[in-house]
Amino acid sequence: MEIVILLCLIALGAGAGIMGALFGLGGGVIFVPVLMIAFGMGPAEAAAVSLVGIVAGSVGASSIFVEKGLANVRLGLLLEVTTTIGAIAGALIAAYLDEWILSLVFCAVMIYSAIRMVLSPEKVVEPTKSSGRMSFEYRDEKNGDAIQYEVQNVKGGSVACVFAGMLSSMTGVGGGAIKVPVMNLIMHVPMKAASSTSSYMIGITAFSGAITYFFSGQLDLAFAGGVAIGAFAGAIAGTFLARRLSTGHLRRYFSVVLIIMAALVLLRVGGIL
Amino acid sequence: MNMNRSIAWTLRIGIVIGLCLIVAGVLLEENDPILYWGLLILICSPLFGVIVAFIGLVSEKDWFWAAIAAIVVAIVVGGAAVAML
Repeated sequence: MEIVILLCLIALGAGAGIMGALFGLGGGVIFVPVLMIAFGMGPAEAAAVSLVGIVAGSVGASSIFVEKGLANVRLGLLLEVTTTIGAIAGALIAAYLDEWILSLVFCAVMIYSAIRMVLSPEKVVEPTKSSGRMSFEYRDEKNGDAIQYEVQNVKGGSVACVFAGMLSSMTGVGGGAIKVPVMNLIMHVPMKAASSTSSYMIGITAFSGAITYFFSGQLDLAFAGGVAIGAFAGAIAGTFLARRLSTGHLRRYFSVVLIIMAALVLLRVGGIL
Repeated sequence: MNMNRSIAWTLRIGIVIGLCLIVAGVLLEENDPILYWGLLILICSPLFGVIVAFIGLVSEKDWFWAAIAAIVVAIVVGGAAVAML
């Protein structure tokens, strides 16, 4: 592989790794078109390399977020179950619906979430004695405070994650764009914990797809290797930034990223991308 | 060692070994067997993390969350197996 191509792949992976660690997004919506347009890959090959990049970024970021208590492993596992149920349902329903309708619904949800995150202040509920298994804690490195929170509306959030998984599998866009707002706006999980938990979850979700492509021989090993190196480096940089950003800034930047993602999906639906 | 540290170290070991092999594979003129094993270890790291989470939750006798982790392991492994058939 030419050194220029390798450096470009590392840079692409690094960008996605930063995004994944900061916002809990896989970055497939950027990975796949760039790999197809700039590197001339087919859709399946690009998706395979993209999934490896997502796994590398998620594992790199989670190795720090989990240890620091920012990524909520228990909540992540619970929502992984509901999201997967949604993804299976979505794969079954997708055959009966036009992709552009689904993509428009996805965009509408992302734009609504972005507006809510800018306009409504973050609500975090402190645990009480009756909180039980839904009470958690992490230390905010920005100001050194111990943040305690109780996960609220678990049923509503779980149902919303079924919806997120459905839309994700029907449109091919990662579920992080919906799961983070669900955790933050519906379940009242602090933004830093929500994005870190999503960052942990996307690796588990991407594993199944990546391993399938890997054993089917559709994975370009050299391209995947280059993207993985970059994604890991980006994830480490992203975790450093995420731990030092204020919650307000993180929510505002996340809203901007959601709007950009919605625009990219609309461009894809319009056949421009 | 508590559960979070165990998971973090599992992920860390997976990505460090995986990336060392990947870098070696890329530097040694795309040595496919080394790249292959590096990518395989890297890709499997999240699964190892969930398995360690399950073991940690069982050892803490946190049966509710252990059951959730077991379901995730079953879904992830089962989903991959079905997709590969």
